[in-house]
Amino acid sequence: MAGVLATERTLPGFSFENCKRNSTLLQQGFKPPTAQKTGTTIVGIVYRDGVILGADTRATEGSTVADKNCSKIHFLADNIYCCGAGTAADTEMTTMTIMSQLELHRLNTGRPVRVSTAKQLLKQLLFRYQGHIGAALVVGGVDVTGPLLYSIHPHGSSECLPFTTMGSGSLAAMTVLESSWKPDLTEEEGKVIVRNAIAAGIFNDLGSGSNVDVCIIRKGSVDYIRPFDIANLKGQKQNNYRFRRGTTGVLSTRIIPLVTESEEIKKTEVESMDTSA
Amino acid sequence: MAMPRSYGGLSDYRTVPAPSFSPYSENGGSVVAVAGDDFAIIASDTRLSTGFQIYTRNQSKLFKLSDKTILGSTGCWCDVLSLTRLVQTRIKMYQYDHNKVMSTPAVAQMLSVLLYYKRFFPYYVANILAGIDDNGKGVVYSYDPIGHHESSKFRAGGTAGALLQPLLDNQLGMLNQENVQDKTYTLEKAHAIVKDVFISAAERDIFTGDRISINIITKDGIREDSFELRKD
Amino acid sequence: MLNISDAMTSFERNSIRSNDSTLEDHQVKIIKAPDFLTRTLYPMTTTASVVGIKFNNGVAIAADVGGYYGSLNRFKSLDRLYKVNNNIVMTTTGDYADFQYMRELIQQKVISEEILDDSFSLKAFSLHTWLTRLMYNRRSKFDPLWNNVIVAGYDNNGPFLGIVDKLGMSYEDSCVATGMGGYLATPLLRDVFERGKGNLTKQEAHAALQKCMEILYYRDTQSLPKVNIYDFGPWSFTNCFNKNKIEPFRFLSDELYLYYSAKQFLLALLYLFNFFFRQAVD
Repeated sequence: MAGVLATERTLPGFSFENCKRNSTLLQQGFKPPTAQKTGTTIVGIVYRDGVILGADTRATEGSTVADKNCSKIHFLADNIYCCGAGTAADTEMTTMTIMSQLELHRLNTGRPVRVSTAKQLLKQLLFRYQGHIGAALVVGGVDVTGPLLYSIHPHGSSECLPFTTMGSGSLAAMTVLESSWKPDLTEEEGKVIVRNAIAAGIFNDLGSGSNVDVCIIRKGSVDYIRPFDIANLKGQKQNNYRFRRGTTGVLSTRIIPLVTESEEIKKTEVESMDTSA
Repeated sequence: MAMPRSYGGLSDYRTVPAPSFSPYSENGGSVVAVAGDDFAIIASDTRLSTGFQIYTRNQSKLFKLSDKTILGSTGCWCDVLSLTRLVQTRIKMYQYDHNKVMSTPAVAQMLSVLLYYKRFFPYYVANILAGIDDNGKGVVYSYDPIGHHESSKFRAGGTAGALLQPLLDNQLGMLNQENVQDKTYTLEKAHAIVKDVFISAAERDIFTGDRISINIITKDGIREDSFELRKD
Repeated sequence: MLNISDAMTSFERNSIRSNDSTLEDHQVKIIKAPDFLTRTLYPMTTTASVVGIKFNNGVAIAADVGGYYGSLNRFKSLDRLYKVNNNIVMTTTGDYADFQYMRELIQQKVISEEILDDSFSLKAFSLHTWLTRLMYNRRSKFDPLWNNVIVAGYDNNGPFLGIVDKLGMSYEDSCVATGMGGYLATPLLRDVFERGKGNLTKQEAHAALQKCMEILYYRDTQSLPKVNIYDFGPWSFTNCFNKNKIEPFRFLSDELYLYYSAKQFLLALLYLFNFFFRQAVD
């Protein structure tokens, strides 16, 4: 029974209660608020000993930069990470949901989860919502079968690739990968290629910008480097913009002294913790 | 890239819907102009873009109309090119007819007329005109796409215009500040503020960046300056 | 509202040879039917990306030889790099018919200029400006030529490389690309140009263009592995038609995919092995 202040606990899953109203409003010319999109460059490559993921750090809202240093490489499991492009909330919530499912799966099976499991859970979730969850993902990790890299599209299709990119800067990044990726890269070579691919997106795609984040996943260890490279330095201001004292006008001043009306000291008994349940 | 894949049937060659034609495009960029007692500064960034693509990093949006007048123009770049070419031609015609250089207020009025001539198929352009008038005083005029104009001391226009104008109001107009004795500014201060506001614009507006080209107009002529911005 | 039969009668009336005294005997005055749309509402046969880059003493541009009908690869050997004169080359991305129309216009311009025989010839910059006006006038009539134009050339002022789009928007730059090339090729071209620090050799420029066309072939569905490249520099002042044209080349790079399919195969084996092993244990 719902109280006066607390609402009833909702059913799991999304609430669709306003969908019909909203579609009517849309027809009448209502402009709904827009979600924050991460016009993005994300890449992943397979190298000799594992997987390297990379991402830029710009989040945009239309033509304005909403976040200059956001994090687009998400944790899925100890051995699996996931880059997200598209609607910011969708990429974050989707990866968080799957992260908890993977953890339960790990506890149930008693084994490190496989990358393909993560991929399958993600694509099944995205397919269920027919593209309305706008998440474009690059999933990378290392499991018993070795290093694996998947890209997953918002409608739920996926592919397993040796190198892949997503987001608005994916074409710029793909140029770099197509011209420099080769089998059996060393970690150092791989990091340089991922950095260059993200930089291509940062400099040539207006939806991508700021820094390069990199996540290296090997068998048994992960290096999440953020920022890996600061591709753009902020310009140095010529003037000083500190306001002088007195700039903000004082309309009136009133001092209210704090008066102690009464003083009371109360001793509380130590309660024992209820462990009956 | 985030598009549903499709496997077209045999006759389904044209899977992409026929594109519709729009005569306008938004090519981005910002212009800032400041007028002082004996100078005018006008600056624009040099990024020309469309959508998420950068066309070029090196396209100044300032057009020299005379030794005393400079026009800064952003918006639909094809309209910018056509309009500025027209203005430049009309200024030449004036000079040949009257054997004198058109004054900045005269150019300002003519630009307004040229814009309003296209009232029902407008030039999709944000114009800011800066220069010194016949008395050697700095003037700045700003326009809407169909010819409304007003004269002011400082103005920001283009994609980051709304972002920058409050900053200019506060730092040059001393608006919303109490106990300000001196409301004048020197050329050096204005020059520095122009650079600084562009640094801020490049941080938050994706269509503004790469470089700014600055023109300083005094009675001795026009001095050019350039300043690098972030390139992402 | 005008119905179609009215339109036809007015069309027929107008196309009858008139008694217009300004016409010669052999001329027929053709008046377009006013009620038929003649606009390019969408392109039909199209051509794909063009890429271009400046180097230390010249400029080079490349384009593939494909002509496309929607997503159908309809024509496989269109030579669309049009050499305007000894120091300009021009080509377009977009509607091929509109390109041919523009080529005719330019050709007439060049012939008219040659007739004058005053030792002046069209410069790339002038052609670029002229094309900007042409495109803008057509877009202002809501009857655009559905193309992006690239003009490259070399004259006394050095190399020239410029673009005009179907609205009449134009600019010059050291690296340009149209179509999918704008997304896939410009990052690489800008990188090469910046690393060259304005002193890129002709060979490096050619290599960059070939690399761009190769990447476009990998990732653009509308592309072919047959490419024409033209370049211009001080050497091109002499009359040398076709000398700048490089033989079409093909790409050879399948070992990458071979490697990966082999790896996938091994992985599949591993899975199978794992599967049977589990079954055996159970």
